[in-house]
Amino acid sequence: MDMLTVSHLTKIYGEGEAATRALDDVSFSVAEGEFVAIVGSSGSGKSTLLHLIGGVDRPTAGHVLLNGSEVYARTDEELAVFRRREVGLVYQFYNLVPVLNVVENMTLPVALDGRPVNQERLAGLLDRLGLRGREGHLPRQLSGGQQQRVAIGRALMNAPAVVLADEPTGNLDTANSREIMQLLRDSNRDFGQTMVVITHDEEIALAADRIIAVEDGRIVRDERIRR
Amino acid sequence: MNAMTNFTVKSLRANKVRTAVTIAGVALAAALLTAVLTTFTSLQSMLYQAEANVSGTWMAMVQAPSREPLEKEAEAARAAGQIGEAAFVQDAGFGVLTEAQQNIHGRYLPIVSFSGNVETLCAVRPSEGRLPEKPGEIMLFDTWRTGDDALTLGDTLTLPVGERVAVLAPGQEGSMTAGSLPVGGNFGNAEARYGDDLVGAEITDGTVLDSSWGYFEAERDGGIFNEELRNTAERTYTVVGFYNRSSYTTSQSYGMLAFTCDDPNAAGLTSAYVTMEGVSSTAEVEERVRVAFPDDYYELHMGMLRYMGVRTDGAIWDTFFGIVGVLAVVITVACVSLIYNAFAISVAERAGQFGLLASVGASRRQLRRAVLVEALVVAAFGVPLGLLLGLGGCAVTFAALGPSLAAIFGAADVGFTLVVAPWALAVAAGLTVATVLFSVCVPAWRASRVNVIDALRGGQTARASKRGAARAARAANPAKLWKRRGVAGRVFGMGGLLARINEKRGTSRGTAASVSLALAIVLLMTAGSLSTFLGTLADVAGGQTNAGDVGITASFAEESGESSAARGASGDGATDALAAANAGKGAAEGAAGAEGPDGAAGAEGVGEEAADAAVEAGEPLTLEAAVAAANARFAEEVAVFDGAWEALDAVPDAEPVGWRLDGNVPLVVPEAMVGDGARSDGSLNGGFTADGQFVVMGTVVYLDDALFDAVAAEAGVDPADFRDGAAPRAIAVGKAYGNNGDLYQLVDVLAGTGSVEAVTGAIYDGAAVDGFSVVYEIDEQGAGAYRIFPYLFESDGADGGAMRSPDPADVETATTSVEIAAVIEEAPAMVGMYGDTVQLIVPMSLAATQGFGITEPQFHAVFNAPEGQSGDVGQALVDTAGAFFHDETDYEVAFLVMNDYAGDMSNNQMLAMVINVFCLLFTVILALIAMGNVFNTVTNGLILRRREFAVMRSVGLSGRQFRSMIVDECVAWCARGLVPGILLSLAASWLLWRVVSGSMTGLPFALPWTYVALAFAMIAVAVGASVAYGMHRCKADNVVEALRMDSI
Repeated sequence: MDMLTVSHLTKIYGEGEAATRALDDVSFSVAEGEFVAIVGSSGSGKSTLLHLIGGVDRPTAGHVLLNGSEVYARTDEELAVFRRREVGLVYQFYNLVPVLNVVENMTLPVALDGRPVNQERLAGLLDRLGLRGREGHLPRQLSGGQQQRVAIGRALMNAPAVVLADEPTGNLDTANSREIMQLLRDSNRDFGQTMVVITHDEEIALAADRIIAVEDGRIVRDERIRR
Repeated sequence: MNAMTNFTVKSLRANKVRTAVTIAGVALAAALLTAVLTTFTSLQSMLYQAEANVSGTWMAMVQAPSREPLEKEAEAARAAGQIGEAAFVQDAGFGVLTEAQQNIHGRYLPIVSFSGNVETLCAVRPSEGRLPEKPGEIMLFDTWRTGDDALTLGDTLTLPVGERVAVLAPGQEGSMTAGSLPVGGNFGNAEARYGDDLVGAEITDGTVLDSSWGYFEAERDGGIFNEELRNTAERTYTVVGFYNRSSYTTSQSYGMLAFTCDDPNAAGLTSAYVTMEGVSSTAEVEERVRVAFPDDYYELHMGMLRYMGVRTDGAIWDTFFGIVGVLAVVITVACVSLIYNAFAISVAERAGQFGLLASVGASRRQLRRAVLVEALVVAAFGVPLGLLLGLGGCAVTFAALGPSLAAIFGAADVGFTLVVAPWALAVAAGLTVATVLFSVCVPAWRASRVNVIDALRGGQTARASKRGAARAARAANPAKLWKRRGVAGRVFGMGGLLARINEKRGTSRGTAASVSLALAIVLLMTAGSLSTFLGTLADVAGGQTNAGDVGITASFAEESGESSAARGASGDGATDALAAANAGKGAAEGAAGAEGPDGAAGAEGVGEEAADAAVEAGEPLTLEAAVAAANARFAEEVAVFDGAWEALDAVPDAEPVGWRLDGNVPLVVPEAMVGDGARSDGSLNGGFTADGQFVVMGTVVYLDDALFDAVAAEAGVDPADFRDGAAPRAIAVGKAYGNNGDLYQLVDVLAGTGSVEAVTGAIYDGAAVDGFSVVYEIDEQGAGAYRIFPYLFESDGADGGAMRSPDPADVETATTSVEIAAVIEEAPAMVGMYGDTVQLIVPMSLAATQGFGITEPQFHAVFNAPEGQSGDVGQALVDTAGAFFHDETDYEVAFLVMNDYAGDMSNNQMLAMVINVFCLLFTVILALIAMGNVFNTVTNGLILRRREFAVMRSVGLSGRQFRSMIVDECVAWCARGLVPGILLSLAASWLLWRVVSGSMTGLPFALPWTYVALAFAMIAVAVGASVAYGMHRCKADNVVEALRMDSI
């Protein structure tokens, strides 16, 4: 069953002559538990695609269906709820809230949803992400790799329908990059977590089940990798 | 344009709203400073013009015994640039006046010959005709245009002119030296005038006196000399002009000067009035005079020097400069805060850009300069705009308020116009630019020290404080996660909780908002205090309540009305008269039953006429007869005024309110009844006698019966009990204006009810005394005490004659006991404002039988008039009363004036309006600065955190949660700004109060509560607007963009 369906998605920034077609009639589906890598050069439209799937931006045209329901039929308030429950976002620059400590940053979406924190899941994530002993640290007290692990923890905390990662290793050294990719791979395998990762690093993309290549706002290649 | 400037201009353009607010802030600062300074220069110019108009532009006056040396010195000084212009005025003799002329014009006609521009320098200018241009022409004071020997232009004036000579008074001998006489112009400065050699200052029999000496009258001034005019010769002048304004130059104690020119008879004392250029202090003026005129007596024109800014002392100027100073400081502080905040935020926001610039090789100096250039660009737009705004605002305000302002400062004929002083503009511009540069120092320094690595990592500068890290560490227990919900959490939910965490762990960004909020409160409350204090000033001036819109006041000359008294009498035989006079009291009592003052006057006329007859017959007058005569005369005047009151009824549009008569009566008050406020020495015009009684020159107010009955009813006493002349009762006003040893203010003069003694008459040597005064005397032991002092006029035939006090032992004094039946706190409106003495209120009907020995009572009649017509109605009242007194009575009117209460009130309202407009403008501008500041800090505090907000939104912070978080943070900022703001504004208000109360005693210190409320309301609006704008900038649509900001 398809977890995520993107159909005829188009995004145009600006108007008139200055209009830029960031995404041009993009359609594809992602099955539950699938690990998809989206590759493309800088400015190819892959980040725009991710934001549209994640509900932080609205498309000019087209549809995004997650778990069979239309993402952009939601109001802004409903989109906020959608973001806390249905997606987990991981960015290149971690994007942690500077005044919140590790566990607070990780549990922020849960807290925003007004639900109690699942202590078991939190403990499990802290162990798996190697953040034990750093629960009370603020982002600025952590290394880049550690910050990215907190961001991944935040994305996984709610067991979202899909985790969307935008160049999650773009700001890290090779060792840390491998470690982070391994974490994402493990989450996909162990929890059956659907995962969409943007990268321009073919080596990292090879860790995925499927690679979608985007150029100039269009899908130019969609291939499954057989292991 | 180099790279850095280019960068600066681009960043200014990129943030249009903040740039506009900052430019507006700079413009407002410049505008306010310009307005304050321009008001100051305009005011100074007006006062200078007014002073020049009244006294002339001379800065120093130099006197010498003859003209030629003085002229030579002046010529030399002018050549040396020590003085500017000079005008000379020299004695040219003293004209002999007839007795009738003396009554109008003074003892003599002092004639002076002038040269130079006396019109400008001495404000001697004709109100009609022109100044004399050749010998034989004369300009006289205005009084010469009226009277029996009235002159008009072209007439000739022929009179004997001579010189003043000191003559020994009869029985005196010897001589006097300067300083030993209390009369005269330059006695006190004789040393300066004559140097160490005082020979010239010695007065002997026959010394010729110049115009600097006062009038010599041995008996009056305790000296040994009188004076007379000698060597008189007839002179004839043609009258070419009149002047009507007295000034320093034109007035002498013995008469107003007559001006002629190039008079061949001019000799002796010469005064030179000189101006100077480029002097900056009184000492400099004095020094130049000393150098130029080493041996001569001089005086400085202090009033002029003060307005020229050469001399800057005096309480009013202290207050004025104080207010200007406080305002300038407040404005500057406000602007520093506004500009500092704007740039601090601008720099913080662009930390990444500065880091990038630093990484590509920009030096710290270049980075600093980038911010400074940004400030200068802002100033380049803001300052000229502000100067224009300030001048324009002043021009509009002055155009609207100029006439009122000029009237208030007593310079109506000069007018209040905009005077633009280049130095004021330069100061305003310079001060603003300095303020801008000072304000950006810290942000510029910060920009130059941006951490390149931090900036380039894209991560924003660390937002959590050190203490925040410790707090975060303590909050790591997963079981307690998100549990500390508190009040904020309950009210604002998750948003509130995030706000609280941010507040506790964040760095100082919220503090800037709190500081600007505190400052806003301070600014608005300072404006409020100023408005309150100045408003009180206006209230004091305009707050008096009047019984009506317009009134007239009249009094009769003392010796008039005799024949009208005679009309009431029947016989005129001296013998009968004596008997009748001595029986006068009985007659008056008998008349008490008669209805109305008219009847009483008729009956009492017998007593008075009889008393006069007794004096004529050479028989000694008894005390009873004198009192009865005084009572009769008073009752008769009352009857006349009653008639006038009836006659005034016919004046159209005048709606009668009531009338009253006032008279002064010496009162003896028992010690126990004396109020606390009256006890300190000199508080009222009276005090304790040697034997412990309190004596005071009180006022008895006869109020028309209807009004009196109302007052009595209010005081809770029966008005019918106050009609018995044999046992008079009165209602007293308990408070009066007095000096309690510290401030001049309302004091308690009477402690309670009881009986006081009114001194109603006295005879000395078989004749009634002419009056009483209450005097303070120091006896031989040096102890001072008050005493009621009966006096007589020496009737030497001359006008009035001298006052003389007979030995108290030889004076027989009559007193009447007055029972004070009630003491009221406030003087009824009809009685007018509080007096400065004890006031007793009695009904008019008492006048028929009890006059308390009052002579020359004052008549006050009060009416209402249609709005705007009080002046016309008042004039009609004066005309009607004048006609009545002239046609229907034999009394000679001593004075008859109108009191335009409504008109005065509108003048005071005008003053209040000027003050209110001034305060309003000041408040509005300060409010704009304050709100601009709040807007800048709050908005930018939010915009700087866009990325943080975007992160929160990307993980599911809803719009509602976002709003509640922001609102909660703002509430916290406000709360933190509130307390220091209120404390600071208390201090500022107190400072302002100190400054204002320096020249205005008794001003209470009060907080401007309406302004406090206004401040809160405006801050709420400002915070609301800035939050709305800030949130608009941070709204969800921009999440993607905000998240991208990490790539600089």
